[in-house]
Amino acid sequence: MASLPNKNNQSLLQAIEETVSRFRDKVAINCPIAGDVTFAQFAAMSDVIARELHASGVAKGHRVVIFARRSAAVIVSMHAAVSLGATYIPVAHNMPDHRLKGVIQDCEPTLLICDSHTIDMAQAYGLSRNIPILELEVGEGVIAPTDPVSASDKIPDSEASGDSAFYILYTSGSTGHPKGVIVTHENVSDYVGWAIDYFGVTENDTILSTAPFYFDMSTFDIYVALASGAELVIASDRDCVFPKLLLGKIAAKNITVWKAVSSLFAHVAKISTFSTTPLPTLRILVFSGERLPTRYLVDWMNTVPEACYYNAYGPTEATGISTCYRIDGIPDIDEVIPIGKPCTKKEIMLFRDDEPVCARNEPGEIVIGGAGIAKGYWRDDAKTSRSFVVRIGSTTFDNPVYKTGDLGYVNENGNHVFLSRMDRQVKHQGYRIELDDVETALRNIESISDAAVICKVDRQLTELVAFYECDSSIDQSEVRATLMSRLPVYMIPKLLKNVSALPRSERGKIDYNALKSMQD
Amino acid sequence: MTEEEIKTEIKSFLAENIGNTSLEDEDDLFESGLVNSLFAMELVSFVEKNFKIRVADKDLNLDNFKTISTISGLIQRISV
Repeated sequence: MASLPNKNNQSLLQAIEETVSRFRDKVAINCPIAGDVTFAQFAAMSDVIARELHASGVAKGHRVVIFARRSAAVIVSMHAAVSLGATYIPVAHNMPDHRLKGVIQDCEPTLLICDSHTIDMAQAYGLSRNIPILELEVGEGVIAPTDPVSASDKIPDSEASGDSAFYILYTSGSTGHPKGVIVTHENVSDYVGWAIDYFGVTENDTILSTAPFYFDMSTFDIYVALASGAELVIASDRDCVFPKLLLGKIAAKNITVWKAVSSLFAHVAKISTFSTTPLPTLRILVFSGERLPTRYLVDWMNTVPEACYYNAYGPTEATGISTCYRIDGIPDIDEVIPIGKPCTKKEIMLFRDDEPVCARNEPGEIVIGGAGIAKGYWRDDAKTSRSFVVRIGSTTFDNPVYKTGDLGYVNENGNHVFLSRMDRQVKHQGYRIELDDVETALRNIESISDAAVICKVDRQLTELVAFYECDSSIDQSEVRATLMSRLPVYMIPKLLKNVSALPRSERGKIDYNALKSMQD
Repeated sequence: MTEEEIKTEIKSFLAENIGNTSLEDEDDLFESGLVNSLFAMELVSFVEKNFKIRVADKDLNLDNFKTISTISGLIQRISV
């Protein structure tokens, strides 16, 4: 059974139950829409929604898609679903019609949870024809079903087993179809237990949440807070768009812990008032989700010298953080920050040509084993068996290990260093994007005959640039509009360039190196 | 600086950064997917540096940055 350290071998849900009883009147979540939600209110709201889910036919082993704005209602809904032994699938509140339908079709949920904002979109998309919808009213102090049916007064005791699915998160897939990563109760319990212990998080901490809830990054924020008794402060969309407001929020709410994508730390550091805003309460800053732009880390370390800085690495498939590195001393701005050593109960191995790499500084594919390895991809045995393996060459493992497709090496201090992807997947603003996925969307536009997308790096930050050939004249804004209807916003290239012919090798393959020199 | 001059500078900034030269004054940059929300921040620093003004917190709102017209309106309001 999954356990949290120092918590008497509790599962995550048991640990949350305990914090709820210990910290009843303490604020659990500060939300831009619902305001302050105490632990007692959180439990009560979750209970009402769980009864409603139960009355709507959601049972152990079922799936529930949560399609709502960034608010405490999403977290309450997640908790309600897992407390019934069901699995939740959070999706973006602005997810395009096409992609949302694809996810619903793929995971066959029993119910769709919406808020008053997304319910209109769900209606416009015509989703109510395919699936029952539970609408939640979300306002100051209120998170509740808008139109409660017949809340049953007794819900069955349905604590799920450790290996049952806690959530499914969809990530970009190279064929143009997102794939769902199945993460279990045990995976999340192990991760959260490790994180509370490693970062020493207690009820005196205040954690800032900036990551979208459909993103693995937010697992840390939500459950480390709920299981430790810390307060979770949800930044609004507006805060995340304007880092100056985010900086104000960190100061006003006395934030102590913040884990975010490295590019968001970079954007905050770029603001003119950054170096003069006092942020004395920040004690733990975890850069993660993508390559760390060292120059901005240095800005942070100069501005908030008292805080501890970490570089964390870990794919969704291995749940949250797999390796972590504590940054001691201010580095040079062009230094590459290691991703560190494996977390407790995790193992990192490097393989090249099916053989383990033993020598220091020698690159190989990063393979993760031990706690946190997800169950695989939802209903995709072929992809699952390619990435979750029990054997590499002549090496056999007791349990499946995850082949990340990332290249790395171990430096002379025994720390891992991330080098690059082995395929065409990139990390942009912390999101995993298969460039092939974006190219497929472009090629599916009728007048576009071929397309190529690259990820360029400008001052240590990434940008997507697309090049396309078209038969007839198609307006660039039309291309954008079509992409918008098919892809999440973060996958839309910043620059679209219409070219008469894409550069190709002699064998007719797109020459990506030539494209890189064409980008300016 | 006249309204037209302000709009011309905004347009050339957008052309440089998103490669779109056929933008109308009323085109919604965010709704149309022309830029993502992180670009709003670049817009803020462009506006502050280029027009030598300071955008107050209350004006940090996507509505003020959604079209060439609203950006220009914001600059004129602050510059007065």
